[in-house]
Amino acid sequence: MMKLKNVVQIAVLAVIGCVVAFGISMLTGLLGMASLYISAGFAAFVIGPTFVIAARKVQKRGTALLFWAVLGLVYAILGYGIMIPITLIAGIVCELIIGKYDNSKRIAIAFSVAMFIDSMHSILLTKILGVEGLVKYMSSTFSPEQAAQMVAAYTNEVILIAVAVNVVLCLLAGFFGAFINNKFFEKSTQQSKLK
Amino acid sequence: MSRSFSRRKDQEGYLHPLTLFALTILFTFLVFTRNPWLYGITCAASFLILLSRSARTCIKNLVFYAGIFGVAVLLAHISSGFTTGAFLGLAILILQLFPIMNIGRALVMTSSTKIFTAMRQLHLPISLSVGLVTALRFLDEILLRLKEIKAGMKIRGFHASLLHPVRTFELYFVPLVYKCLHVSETLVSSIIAKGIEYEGEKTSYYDMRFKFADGISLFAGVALLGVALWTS
Amino acid sequence: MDIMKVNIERFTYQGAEKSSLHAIHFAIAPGKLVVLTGNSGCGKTTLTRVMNGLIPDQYEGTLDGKVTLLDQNLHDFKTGTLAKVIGNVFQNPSDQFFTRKAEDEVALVGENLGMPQAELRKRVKKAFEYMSIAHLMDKNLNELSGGEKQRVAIASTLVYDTKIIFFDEPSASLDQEGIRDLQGILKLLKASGRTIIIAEHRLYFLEDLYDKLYVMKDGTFIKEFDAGELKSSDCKDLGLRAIDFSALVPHNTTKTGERVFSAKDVHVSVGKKELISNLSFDLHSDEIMGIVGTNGIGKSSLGRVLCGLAGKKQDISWGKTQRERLKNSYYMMQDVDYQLFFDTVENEALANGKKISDAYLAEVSWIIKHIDLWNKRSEHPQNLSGGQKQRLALANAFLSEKQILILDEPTSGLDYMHMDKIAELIFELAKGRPTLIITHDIELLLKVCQTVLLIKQDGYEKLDLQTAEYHKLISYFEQMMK
Repeated sequence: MMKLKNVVQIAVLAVIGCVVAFGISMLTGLLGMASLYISAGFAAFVIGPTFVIAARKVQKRGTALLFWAVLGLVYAILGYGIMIPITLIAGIVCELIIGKYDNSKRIAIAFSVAMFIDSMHSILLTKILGVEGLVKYMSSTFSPEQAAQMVAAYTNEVILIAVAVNVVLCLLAGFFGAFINNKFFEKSTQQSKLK
Repeated sequence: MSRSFSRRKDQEGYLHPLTLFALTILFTFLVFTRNPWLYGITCAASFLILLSRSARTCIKNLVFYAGIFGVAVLLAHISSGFTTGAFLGLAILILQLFPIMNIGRALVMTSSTKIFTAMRQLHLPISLSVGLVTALRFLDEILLRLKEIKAGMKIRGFHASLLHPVRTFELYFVPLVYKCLHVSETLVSSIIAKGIEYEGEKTSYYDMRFKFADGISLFAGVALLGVALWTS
Repeated sequence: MDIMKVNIERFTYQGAEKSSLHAIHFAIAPGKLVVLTGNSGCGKTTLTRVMNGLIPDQYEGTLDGKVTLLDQNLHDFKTGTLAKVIGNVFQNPSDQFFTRKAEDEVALVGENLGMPQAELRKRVKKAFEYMSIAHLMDKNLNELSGGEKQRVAIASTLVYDTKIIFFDEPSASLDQEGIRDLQGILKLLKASGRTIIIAEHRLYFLEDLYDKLYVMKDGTFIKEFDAGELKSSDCKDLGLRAIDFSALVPHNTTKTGERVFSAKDVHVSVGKKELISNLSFDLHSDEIMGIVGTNGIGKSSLGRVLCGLAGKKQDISWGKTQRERLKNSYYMMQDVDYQLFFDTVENEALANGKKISDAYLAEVSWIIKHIDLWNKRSEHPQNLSGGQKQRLALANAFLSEKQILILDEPTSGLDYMHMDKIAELIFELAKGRPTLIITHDIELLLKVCQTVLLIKQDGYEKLDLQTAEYHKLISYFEQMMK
């Protein structure tokens, strides 16, 4: 059973990840075309460590789902309400893969898959919603002109590259999260250099 | 006298947190309208709402808005290359998002007690409400804490560097996470000791009924959205 | 009838190998003020957590024993309702606040337990008035001083007619004036008939207040004193903080060398408000100078100016500009958490800007042994206890090659043994480098400093503690407690 302490830990870590990631996302927007491919890739490197830390600290069922739900809510406050269903799906998938929260590698992979779903949101939404849908549901991000450009930009070739790039980035981010967690938040196994 | 005046203003002058949240969503749809009048009205309304919460923050945001606006105008005149185009795009995006940021700021500045009560009105589980309100509290402090970490780094002679992104990330991230987790532990003990887990009926220090101002604001928001959809 | 009875055979935190408490049996009569003291890690905070019900629900572990409150087992109280009977004031007031506004924080307990709105408003107002802080009701908590925050935290325990109030190291984050105020509040609460339980290192402000004082070691009571029984000699024998100042004398007899640095007409301001103006002093080789001053005078801000974190251009000989001062001086922050960045204690110490050589490894080994962290050298610095972190931060200061060291409250919240250890370290390691210590810990000042810069609202003076001037420092502290 999850305690209040655990819920607060998860929420705080999710918010730290989300705020820093949002800042980074704004900057990656500056990369122009490249941002089409890596969309959420950079943000993953911040959210990854906070997720792995939360999962290892709490180690209880529901941690992953709650983490992604909080991310969805923060997205909503920042004007991306449409992300809530996507983060919930990501959370459920993550929860299914993660197992007993005792294996860092498994946690990293579960995160990578969930983050991949999250990072594919722009492509999924573009394909599912089309120009009109984008303007209707994601007006905070797209004007009609931008939406049209976006739909035109996502050719099959671009989508293929984007999927490949994001798979790699999300996997790296997951393992980066495990690396940071092992280095700073787990019991150290380092040998001392001192005598 | 002044005390009772400020109390009255506090009770009746501000919008219900749920109204603010609804307005955030409504404004999400409104700010990208191609109608400059509608954008102008939305923007002005958002500044007014922020003003009702804090004059100082409102002025700060106004200055920031004017600055970004100036940069956008300047870039639009000199824009030619890819880089200036990207910066212009970013400036326009910030301007478009500004009304939402204003309302979001007003929401974040709302008393945690009010937000917490509003969440209870929505029948969200207590632990989730506590988690979110605590997270909002930390949201406010993250920049302050990062500033202290930067001071600590300076003294020890460590600097952020693009050439060492992982090291830079560690320098900021690790103390930040540890600090927030430490504080959250004390905070949770404190609120548990204050009976947050009590399962009986709870009350509110503030009058949390929806008021005339809430109705008017929501009506205006929906009406504007109607105009936006109709004109487009 | 006793208000609380404690019978603990053993308590062990989840995952811990050793028990944290054992064989503790005592009862508390209503209206008494009970002090739990002892060195860090002796179990006093754990004991208060058992007594206020946070153990084993919030902090998991195995409790073999029972605590009764008003003849009812603590764990038979309905979830949350203990808040009507027990109030808690935690160590750092800022960390325990859930809301931003003072009145919201005080009202929280009433909202949680369903007190009707009209009654709640009345009681919140009364609690603020009782604490003499009615003017702070609508203030943002971040804008309040440490002492004011503590008053708000105490006010929140008064919304219900609580029978018992627990304080966890209430003086740790307070300066001299704050501690004097706290003493007044405790008197007031005691006079109102409430039972007060305080876990604390500093004892001088409790001298006339306690009815029972328990000294703890290794998770159990080793000695108990009734009102007025604890003497200075007991404090010395048991390794406790001083109960009164008059017996304290300066220890550092090392003569300072020639003048090496000077600061002239230093200005310190926060925002547009000037806190300190035209402050001048000289520093000599081997000098350890304390910086003492009244509440809000700007001691930490002065520290930031002196080390180059603030203050732009100043007439300071170790650096006119901020950049130069940052290069030449080291500032140990009050909150050392912001200065620890590495994955292990030894890497933290090794990262102090020198090339790793055999000689440097030997130097780091020596210092880590000296700060008593050798067995923890592979642990994460941020997981250490408060005192351990302070010692590591101090080691970092000394390992840095800076010419001047500025330490901001290096012993805040430390027990006598650890304060003594830090004093020894400073004494030994500061040799050859002028060291400034911003502190309100008079025991530390008299242990290590040769001089003290005393800053008051109407000016400043530098006292030579190696002469009879040290009496001035003691009377200043005594004055502050009146």
